[in-house]
Amino acid sequence: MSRSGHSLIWLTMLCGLQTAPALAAERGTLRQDTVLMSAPYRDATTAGDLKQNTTVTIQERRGAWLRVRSDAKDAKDGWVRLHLVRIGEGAEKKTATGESLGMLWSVGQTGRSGAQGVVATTGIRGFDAEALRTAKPNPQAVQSMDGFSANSDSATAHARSVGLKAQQVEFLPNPTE
Amino acid sequence: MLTISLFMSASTALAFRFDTDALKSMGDKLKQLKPVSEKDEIALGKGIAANLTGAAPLVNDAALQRYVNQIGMWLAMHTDRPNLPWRFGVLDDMMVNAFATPGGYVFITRGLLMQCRDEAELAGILAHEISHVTARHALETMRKGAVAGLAGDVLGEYAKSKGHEGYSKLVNAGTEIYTRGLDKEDEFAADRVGAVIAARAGYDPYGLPSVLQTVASINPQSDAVALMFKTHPNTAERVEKVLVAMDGRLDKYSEQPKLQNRFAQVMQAHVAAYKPAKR
Repeated sequence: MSRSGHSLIWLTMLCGLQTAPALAAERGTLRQDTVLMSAPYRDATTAGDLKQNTTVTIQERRGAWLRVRSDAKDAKDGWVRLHLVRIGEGAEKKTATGESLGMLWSVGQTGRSGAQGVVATTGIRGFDAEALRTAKPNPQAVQSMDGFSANSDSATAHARSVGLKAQQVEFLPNPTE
Repeated sequence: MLTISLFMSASTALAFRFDTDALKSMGDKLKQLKPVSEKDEIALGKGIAANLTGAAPLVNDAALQRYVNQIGMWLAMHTDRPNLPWRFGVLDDMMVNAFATPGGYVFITRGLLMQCRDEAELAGILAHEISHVTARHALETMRKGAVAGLAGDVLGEYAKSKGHEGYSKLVNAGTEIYTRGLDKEDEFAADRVGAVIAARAGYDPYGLPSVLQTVASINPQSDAVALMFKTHPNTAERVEKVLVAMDGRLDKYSEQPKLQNRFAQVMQAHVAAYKPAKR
């Protein structure tokens, strides 16, 4: 391939990177008093602590850890375990009956907004147990799923096109047994 | 049996009242039940899938449906049942939930899809559902007669007669599981296996706890999570448990791709063209 061909590829890749959708900063609230770590490891040095209900900005996600920063003037920055942070800020808001959750993906948005983003005004009510029990079966819909199905060749190509690589991984033991 | 009764609403409890003698006699019958053939398992799952798509239509977006099928099939290829006729569907419903029927029909609601940040989170959900299928959780729940004290009998009758009436009864009994939930240990197990399947397929396996953490942040009073929270163990507890199980074993796979860009492109195209399906 010519040198200019290479340059074109690089240019395309760079443009791709620049126009790639970026995640909007997500906000979170600490579920309990929490010690921040300086790195996403249990044996890392500590980086201060934050009180329960502190509002934070989620900076980064890595494995079981979130890097968070508090809003205060003396902003603390560090890593906490995923389960210690509730997504969204402030006290949990009760959603009115029939109202749906916020729409997290909307037209023109560059990425996912904070967890309780724009609230859809037309609440499409979810089906409940009774609706499922009394549902009229729709075998045509099930039949139509054949038309969207994948096979192992297409699924492998779809995975490889973005660099997914199969791994040998053992099942996890049940820690409570 | 007792744990299942905890999930029952008052009206259900009335409809399916049974006494301990009946339970014992059913338990005796159970021991004689043979394992269900794969062919019957698929037929049963197809019937339950028709009930689910009867309650909520499929999203009218072929590109989105194909995308979810490619991911789902790739995940299923990393299980011990790769050759089931796997089918994946997005239901047009703002409720946050996902379902898997025997034989390999897997559904995610648009409401839950919208909560995902990236493809690794979607893969985590699909892998959790796939695990219910490979471990035959719903089927075993029926076989044990844990649903309404009915399914065990029906499965036995169906195995003998293969009649249409038997099939309908079986499908409706099976559908009951999706209104009451599986045993919570089945859910915890599917979280552990789901994370492993995602890692095997090359994804960051923390997608599952990550999206569960988002779901755990939704107000439990919200209609959107009513059915899911009724039929699953506490979500925050699930996050903690699966993280403990993954600790020191799956950390090294956390640098595998999350595929935020591909997912965002698919979602933006979907949202731009979205028209609610007819009910």
